[in-house]
Amino acid sequence: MSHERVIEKKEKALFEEVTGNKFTRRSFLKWTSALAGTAIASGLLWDDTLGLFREASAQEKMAGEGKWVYTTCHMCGGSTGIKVHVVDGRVVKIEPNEYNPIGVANISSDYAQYRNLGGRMCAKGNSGMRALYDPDRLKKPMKRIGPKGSGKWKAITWEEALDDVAKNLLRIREKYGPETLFWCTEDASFTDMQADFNLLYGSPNFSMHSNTCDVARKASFKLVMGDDRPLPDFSNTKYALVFGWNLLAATKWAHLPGIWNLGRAKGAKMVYVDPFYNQTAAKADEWIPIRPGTDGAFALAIGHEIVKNKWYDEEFLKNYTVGFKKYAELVKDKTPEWAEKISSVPAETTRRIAKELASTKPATVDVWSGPGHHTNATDGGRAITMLPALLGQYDKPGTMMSRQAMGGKRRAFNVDKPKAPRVDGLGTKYPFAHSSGIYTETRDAMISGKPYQLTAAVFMFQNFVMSVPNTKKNIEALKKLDYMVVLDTMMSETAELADIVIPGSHYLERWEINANWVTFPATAIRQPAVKSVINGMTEQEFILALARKMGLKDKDGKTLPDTYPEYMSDQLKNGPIGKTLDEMLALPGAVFIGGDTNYEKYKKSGFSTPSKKIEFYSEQMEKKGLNPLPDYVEPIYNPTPDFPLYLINYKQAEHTHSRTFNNDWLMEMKADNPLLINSATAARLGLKDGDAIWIESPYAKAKATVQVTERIHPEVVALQHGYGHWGFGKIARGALNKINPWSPAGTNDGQFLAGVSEKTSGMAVHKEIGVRLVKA
Amino acid sequence: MANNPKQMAWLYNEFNCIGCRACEAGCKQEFDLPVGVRRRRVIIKEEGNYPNVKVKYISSACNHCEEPSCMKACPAQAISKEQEFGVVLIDQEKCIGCKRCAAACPYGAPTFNEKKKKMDKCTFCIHRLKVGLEPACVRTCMGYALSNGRLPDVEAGKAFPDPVFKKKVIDTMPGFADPKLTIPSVRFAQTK
Repeated sequence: MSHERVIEKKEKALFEEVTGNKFTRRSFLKWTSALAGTAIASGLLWDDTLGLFREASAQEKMAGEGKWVYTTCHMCGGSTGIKVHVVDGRVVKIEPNEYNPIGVANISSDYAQYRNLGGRMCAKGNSGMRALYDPDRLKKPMKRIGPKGSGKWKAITWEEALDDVAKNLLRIREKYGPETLFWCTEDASFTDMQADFNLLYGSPNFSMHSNTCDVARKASFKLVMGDDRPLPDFSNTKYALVFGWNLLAATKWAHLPGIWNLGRAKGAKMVYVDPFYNQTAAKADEWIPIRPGTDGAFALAIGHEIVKNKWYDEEFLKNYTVGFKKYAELVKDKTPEWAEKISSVPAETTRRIAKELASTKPATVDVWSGPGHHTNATDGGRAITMLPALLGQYDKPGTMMSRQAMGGKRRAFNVDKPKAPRVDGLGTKYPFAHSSGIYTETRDAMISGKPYQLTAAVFMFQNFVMSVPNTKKNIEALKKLDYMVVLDTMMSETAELADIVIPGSHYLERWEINANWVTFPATAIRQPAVKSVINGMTEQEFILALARKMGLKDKDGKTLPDTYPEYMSDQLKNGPIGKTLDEMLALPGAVFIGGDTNYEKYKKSGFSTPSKKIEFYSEQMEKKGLNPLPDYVEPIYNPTPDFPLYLINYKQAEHTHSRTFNNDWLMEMKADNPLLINSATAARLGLKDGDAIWIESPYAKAKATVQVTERIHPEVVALQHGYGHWGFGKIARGALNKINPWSPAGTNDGQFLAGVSEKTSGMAVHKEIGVRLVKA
Repeated sequence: MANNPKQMAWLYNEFNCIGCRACEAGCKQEFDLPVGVRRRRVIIKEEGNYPNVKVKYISSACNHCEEPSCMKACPAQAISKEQEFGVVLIDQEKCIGCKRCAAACPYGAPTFNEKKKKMDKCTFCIHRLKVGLEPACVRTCMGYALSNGRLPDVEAGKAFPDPVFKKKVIDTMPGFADPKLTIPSVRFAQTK
């Protein structure tokens, strides 16, 4: 096998230019080791002892050698089960782990039946190695030596980095107060320990990812049926009606395509509602194109038909719901004709779908981020989640299922509650927001200094600049901070604005507990398959060392544990699982399964709402001054005569959020994100495939490439989310794009947005703006 | 009917293919392929007009034909068909990188490896077949769309990943080159 990395011409040229020596591998290595510890630009300096030089080795040549390590994927937050083939301390292959239900099925009986098929993995999971051995990974902590965004950095030692962060966070606490620290993290990674760090530090402003993901869905389901993340049983359903969830592409859990296809193979009808014909539409029996943000109106009209024709489940309504009469009153005039004007869905289609849905059981009705990323998301979502309630379709085989989670129990700390409130209005301005916070509000508070000025921020694997709507405001806000730390595997648009950047770990280098997203209790362990490729600390080790250095402890003198595995073991042992980490690792596939899927749990314990019943009418919303009924409200940022087209974003199976765009295997599949436009609209505007255009919204103007298609509503244009990087690795910046020099990295969709959050759940509004197109 | 009853064949079930490209990436990591070498590809076809549009996916690789046109086109005798599985292989020692095999292949299966200056294509993961494993693309397929088996088994409907997915097995699908050209070792599940 080859242990040599191919050094690019550009790097050789740079070497020769800088040193005046002719390039040989030996001279290059000598040079890089001599320079270690001085200023470096990411990706240009190499230290061969780190192993980054070596090319990956094909499993083809290594079969039968080495060992397999059972762990979980983290190319996205789905944490699909994987096993990793390691030879000579190097990963040569990642394959599915059939002992983990994630990747097989989300219902226990399906898991038992289909486990022998071996589990599944997506394109991202299959490309995990390219992220582990990405030459653009940060290798040393970096301290900024020029102005913010100047790109001038100095490599420092880990010890110096710890000193710097400890000193500054203590300074911030002393000078401005602990509440002025904003801590922002990805949410499938040791959030437990980070939350504890914040408890001990004293900041209430701890936020994590979900706010930019699915908290409107969470609020909708929670308000209506009490579980903030029920899961669909597609495998055993007879009819699925899915609103704006491209579950076959925004896969998240690798079993989703499998259970969808199982349902279809067994004869279910799948209906998919979305302005964009995506993979899920392609694999549905029917696609219903709809105007963005109008799903709630369509759902109310379906409800109207069900109520008018008395197709509802009377027994279920009587025993397990409250407020049906008021709901019936609300939908009385929500006719299919009324909804057609709003949503563009033909009244006849609505009537037919309502009849099919009501007459085919079991039925699954689900909604995710399509309707969920709008200013009317929670109400629209509630109108949708009430449809299965009308028909008694919850918590039965083939319907939406409540989960039975089983995780760990965190250690308790004796600390005072922070004196200051959160800056983002969680629980106050946004009464039904998720604990992940409200990112746009935090950002706006950084700019306005109200209710108080945030002075420092720690970003853990969060590219805040690219992930929060309205890119310009994000940059403006981060520039106001006194001290900013970024922990990430690579430089990013966010890291560019930091004072110090700490190299992060890859998921094959660290520990974690993954309480699984299936309907039965299952918990998996993420464990290191290899030691740190960059010879660095994991984020967990860094934070624990930081806490020690800062002397963080509670009123009883209790501190964070010394190591993260110890912390995990503690939680697992003291929680419902009752096993130590070592005992967990000894289980097949390092996965604990604590029981089977239980059905109709509400018959015993009710639903987890205040009334213990499904709530068509929400008194808790009424108390907070919100409409207790899911009436339809127009989206705020709809198109205008000046900006006449709806712009939405979408996801593809090859990518996660904005973070997988430096992965060459994934970028090879699709190097940029052209703007999708309906052929009729394109013809009207005189646009054709491959044209360069300006996209203009009231908030930004940027170039993109046109892709004409039949797969989108004529009033809508769409950009795939996550492209348009300028501060990430070289592949993300467009190195593989040979087609369109005007936007080589693709176009960032977030810049066009107003940058607001939905009023009930605090969900970041990612899919609601009007734009106009101008030929470039 | 196969000339060689041991001939290994693909079974592609378009009904189940979600176009996710897991198969492409699974192949890339099995062989650690550089950018530019794509042994398996998912082709996306858009048909019809809004709103009556339909998208079809075709996951395509070397079909290890019974009469491989690449083999006939190769001036260096670098391409051979082995007997244990009927796999068509390019001998990297003999290949001169002339690209004639790529031109001759109706499926565009051979691609040029810029780094090695040689032609490169799917080996059916023969190293895995030999130890009883399915090819890397099949192993990871998220929708249970792609499977493999000995050709007689494939034709008899015995190669579906699970009986629940079983459909009638046919020789071709729309958009696929005429199987009479090279007699490819691939069969399709009839969708409707």
